[in-house]
Amino acid sequence: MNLCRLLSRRAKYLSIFVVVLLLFCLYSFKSLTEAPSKRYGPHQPIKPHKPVRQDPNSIVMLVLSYEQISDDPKFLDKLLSDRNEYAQRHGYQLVHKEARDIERKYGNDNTWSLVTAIRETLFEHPEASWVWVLDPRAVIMNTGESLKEAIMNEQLSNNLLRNYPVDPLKPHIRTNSKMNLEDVKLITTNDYNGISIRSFLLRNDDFAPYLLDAWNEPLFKPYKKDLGERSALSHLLEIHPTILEHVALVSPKVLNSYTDSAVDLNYQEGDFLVLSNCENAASCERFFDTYVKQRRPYNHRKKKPSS
Amino acid sequence: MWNPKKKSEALAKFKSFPYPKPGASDLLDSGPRIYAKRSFLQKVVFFVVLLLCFGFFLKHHTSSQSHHSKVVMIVASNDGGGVLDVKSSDQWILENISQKNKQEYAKRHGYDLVFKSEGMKRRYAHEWRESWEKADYILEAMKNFPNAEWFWWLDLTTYIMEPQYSIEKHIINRLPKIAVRNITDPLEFNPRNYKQIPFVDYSEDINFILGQDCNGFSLGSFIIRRSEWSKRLLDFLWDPAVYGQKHTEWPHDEQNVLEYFYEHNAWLRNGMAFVPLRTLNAYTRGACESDSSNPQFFYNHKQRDFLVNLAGCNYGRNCKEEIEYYRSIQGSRSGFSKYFSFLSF
Repeated sequence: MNLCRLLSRRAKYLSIFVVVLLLFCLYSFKSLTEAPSKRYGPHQPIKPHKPVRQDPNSIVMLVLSYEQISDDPKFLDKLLSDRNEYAQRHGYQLVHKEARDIERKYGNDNTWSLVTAIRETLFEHPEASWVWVLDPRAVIMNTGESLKEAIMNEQLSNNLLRNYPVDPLKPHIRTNSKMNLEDVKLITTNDYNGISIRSFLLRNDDFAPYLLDAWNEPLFKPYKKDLGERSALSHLLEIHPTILEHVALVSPKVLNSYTDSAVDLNYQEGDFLVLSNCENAASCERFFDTYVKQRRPYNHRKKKPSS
Repeated sequence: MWNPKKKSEALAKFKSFPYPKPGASDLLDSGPRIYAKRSFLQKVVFFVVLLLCFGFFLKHHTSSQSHHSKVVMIVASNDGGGVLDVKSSDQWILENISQKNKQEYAKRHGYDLVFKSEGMKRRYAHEWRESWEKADYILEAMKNFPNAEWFWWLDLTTYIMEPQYSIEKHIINRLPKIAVRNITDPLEFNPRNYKQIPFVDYSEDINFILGQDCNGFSLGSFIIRRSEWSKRLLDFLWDPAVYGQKHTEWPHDEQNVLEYFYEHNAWLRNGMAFVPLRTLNAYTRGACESDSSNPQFFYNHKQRDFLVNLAGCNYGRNCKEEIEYYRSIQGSRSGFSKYFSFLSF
């Protein structure tokens, strides 16, 4: 009988202890779990209201023609039909704008026609996830190769130049060494002239309006008078980390091969496209014809020569 | 074989030993059990007390470390920092009154509060980045308070007249009713005469809440939200190409910068919401001389304006006297409304 009483007393104390322990655990877990639900950390950005769903595979190609080319309708047609062929082949959409129209439409709101043209394109095509801006003086050589194969997705993480100086003359300004594919909003190349804007990809989300409006800043024109859009963009990349952190550089071999540059940047067979510095429609047309003849049928199974 | 137990029993029997002699009484015979029981009880009590202490310590420790408040108040103080002139006693008193007012308000609503010294720093001197320090301080606060969503900047020469209003209820929850997104609309108040520009999307989230005074934007009291938009704004605000060419024309520093960028940047217009000035930044008489008959800028005690901003009191008026006046009339109501001042909106 003594034993029973003793046991029950011990059990009573034990039960009190267990109850208190349980209460403590509940209390501490409650206060700890409350905290995360109120967190509005920087890793949970609230997405802007976007009513149109974007197709991750849809890309818009923009060709902006300036007067020299627009004034030669024969060459313009040839060029556009060639681009269109490429676009159709890979399911992209081709958009052609003329610099003259942009200047007329936007007047004072337009500092660089290229930038405003891109802004307009992105606005008109909210369903596109990327825009590929390609200089009309370029010829796409590997027409069987889609952009995806050439540059994006898996290839991108291989081709991304991490921790790479944006401008060779300013080696302290470098791209990120760690970059997620979702953070990449602008893909372009750079060379000894600085950043290239003759062939580049821009993602169509909230970053693009910021970049394009900043790029179009009217006070940049008097600041860096002679060099134009390219130098305005490089100024932005130098000064503003919120822009630089989203820029990915790839090797020029992948996106931009030249014909009249130092040897390692010149076009070689297997490169994706080739650019020229032709000054008028006639020379551009000659260039175009020459390189179109050199196109070889692209073999999907053949491995791309690594740069 | 020598048995130690037997030995102690024997010792207990024969010597004056603290233990009771075995066999002395029935109760005592069950001695070891009682002592075991008592020591068990003691152990239980001890551990319970220890646990409770630990629990309190943990709670106190965690709650003082991670700030759960959704709103952070950033108050400018120490204007000039006593570098160009020695701070007078009036300035100290003004600071004191203003700080106490903000501290009481923050405590009442559980907001986090920081005071930022706007002393003259080399980085912000002329030809560098005059007064862009607001941007730096806001970015710093965003980093230091990772749980907060809204950051409310206040100048020193402000006084919260209706501390029962909380920021959430008074402003943020009422945004659909009181905020204007498109001030280029001809029906809206547009002192800087902004024109419409293409590509603006007013359905985007609100990231910046402010009022407009007779001259343009008023940054004496504004609210900014943690978002990519805000980070980009605070980064882009100081662009040396723009600053270098324009800062001599800009008497109001970051106010003018924002007004300038608002002209051309559609992405900027997307995120800004304009509320009536008196919602969070009512001026005193003496500011906005050019428009002194317009009631939409000036503090109205009867209508319980939330905050009064002694804008421009440093130029020709006495800040300390003004703030003492506003402190004295705070909470004083005539008639029946006196009894209902505890009701928060």
